[in-house]
Amino acid sequence: MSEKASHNHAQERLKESLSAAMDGEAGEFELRRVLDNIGSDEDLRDKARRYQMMGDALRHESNEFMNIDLSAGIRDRLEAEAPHSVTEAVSVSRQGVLAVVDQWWSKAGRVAVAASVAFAVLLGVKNYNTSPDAEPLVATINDQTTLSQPLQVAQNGYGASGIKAGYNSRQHDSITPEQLAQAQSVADRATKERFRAYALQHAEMSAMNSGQGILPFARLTTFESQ
Amino acid sequence: MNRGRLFPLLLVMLAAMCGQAFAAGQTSEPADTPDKWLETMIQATQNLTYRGHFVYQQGATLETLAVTHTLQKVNGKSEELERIAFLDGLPREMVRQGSNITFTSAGREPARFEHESLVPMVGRFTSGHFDKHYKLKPAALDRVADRETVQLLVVPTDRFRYGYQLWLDRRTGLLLKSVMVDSEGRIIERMQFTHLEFPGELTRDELERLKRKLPESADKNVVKLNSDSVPEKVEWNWEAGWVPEGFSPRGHSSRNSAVSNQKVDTLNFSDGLASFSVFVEPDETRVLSQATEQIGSMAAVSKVFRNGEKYFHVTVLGEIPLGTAERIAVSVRPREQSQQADK
Repeated sequence: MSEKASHNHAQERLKESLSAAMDGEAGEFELRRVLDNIGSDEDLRDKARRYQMMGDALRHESNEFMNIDLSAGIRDRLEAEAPHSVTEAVSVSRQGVLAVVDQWWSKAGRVAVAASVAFAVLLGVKNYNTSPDAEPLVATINDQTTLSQPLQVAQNGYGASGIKAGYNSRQHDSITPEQLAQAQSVADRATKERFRAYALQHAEMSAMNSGQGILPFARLTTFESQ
Repeated sequence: MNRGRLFPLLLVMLAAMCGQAFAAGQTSEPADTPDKWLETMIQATQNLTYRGHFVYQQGATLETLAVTHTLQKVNGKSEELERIAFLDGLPREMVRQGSNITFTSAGREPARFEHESLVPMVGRFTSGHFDKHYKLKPAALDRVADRETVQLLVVPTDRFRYGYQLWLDRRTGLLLKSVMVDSEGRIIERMQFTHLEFPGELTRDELERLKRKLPESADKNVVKLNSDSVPEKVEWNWEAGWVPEGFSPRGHSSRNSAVSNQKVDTLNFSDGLASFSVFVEPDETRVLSQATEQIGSMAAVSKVFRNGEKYFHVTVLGEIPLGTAERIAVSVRPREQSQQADK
């Protein structure tokens, strides 16, 4: 590395922030800093990759289920560094969306990582044509050179969190922190909704299957008040 | 605790047991040891008719709840009727009618759970495995909600589960107060009755409330649970590679996901007191998030896994330490074909 000293210093701080983010301990400010830079900073991305792999290695016996974020399969694609862009604007039914995503996925050149407590992998799809009744969660930006906004795809049976979010691999340096934060908040909301639904089911099963009497339902109070 | 101190306590327990004679009509087993007390506790919870108010504290929040509970005979079989209502904040209530549980929360679709049959709770603590994972100690006589109680300490033998202090009604064995503590002794949650009655019979109003026809929920919210079949026989293609010793599968279900059109497989584990559930859901959203959260007394860990070209959300949720939940979550893996053939 041949950067100036001040740049090196910034790099160091960035790495510290990344480390904190990976451990789920980053504050909002630190998180922002990582998100702002991870798209453009190859070095930082490498580091994130290594952290992730280390974590995987520590946690896993090797098995077929791989921790998805940046582990082998995706990493290979990342390293191939082949910038792809899937630009076919396909008008889609539900199956269509998934098919397109699958297709995209198989050719994907890059994924980017938004580091946060809820780690979200945002997959890049330049342009989604969602069904007419789809409600954008946020106003869709028509400027094709920027991130396509996280969309809420209101498909049948998909509920509040059938979400697509992402950005085109080619433009991913131009993502604003706001956009990433929005994608993040969508991902977080999906996680919350999932936790809530699961918590109810857990309470129900615990009420039937453990010796805790009235407690399982009392515990739901925390979820409901959020 | 040495024997010299333990002996008087045992006398106390015996005395408490005599108190059981009064309640003989209501509870079916005498309690002379801590593990039998726990059995009595479960039976009392299920078989008695009672109404009361209790508080539930967790972190900085304190909530008041009301419970009414009775048994009714349906076709010669006893069926539990129970209502737990949150008295603070958003109105929410849980109504149990036999094997159906409906949870209603203002502003949300009611969620209904239907069990085809219920697993008997008897023998949970006296089966011989429980004391491998918890040490039971009678602690003291105390008073809760103006009733005499027997206090039990339930101390875990490893770090995979929380510890409890339980106060059981001396007469009936009903759980009147419960404190859950972590390995450092920090209090995680507290439940305590402030008022309790055993009226013999509930009033007509109360019974009407318990028996009323509950709002039909949309079909997707009805969860059919088949808890009497042996979970090991479920033909799912995943398994939890590691669960803490003493936890065994107690129930399973497959229901529609709250966030997608996928089915979620659920397996519920319990060691008698604590329980956790493992949820595995195929993911199509492509917004993949992993989260580790302590939500109130519950640990919630969500991981994304990949099997071939498929992606799965694995979530572990339960009143167990976060580290335990994390370890269980990362152990979930595809079931080996050979193992499947063995079973």
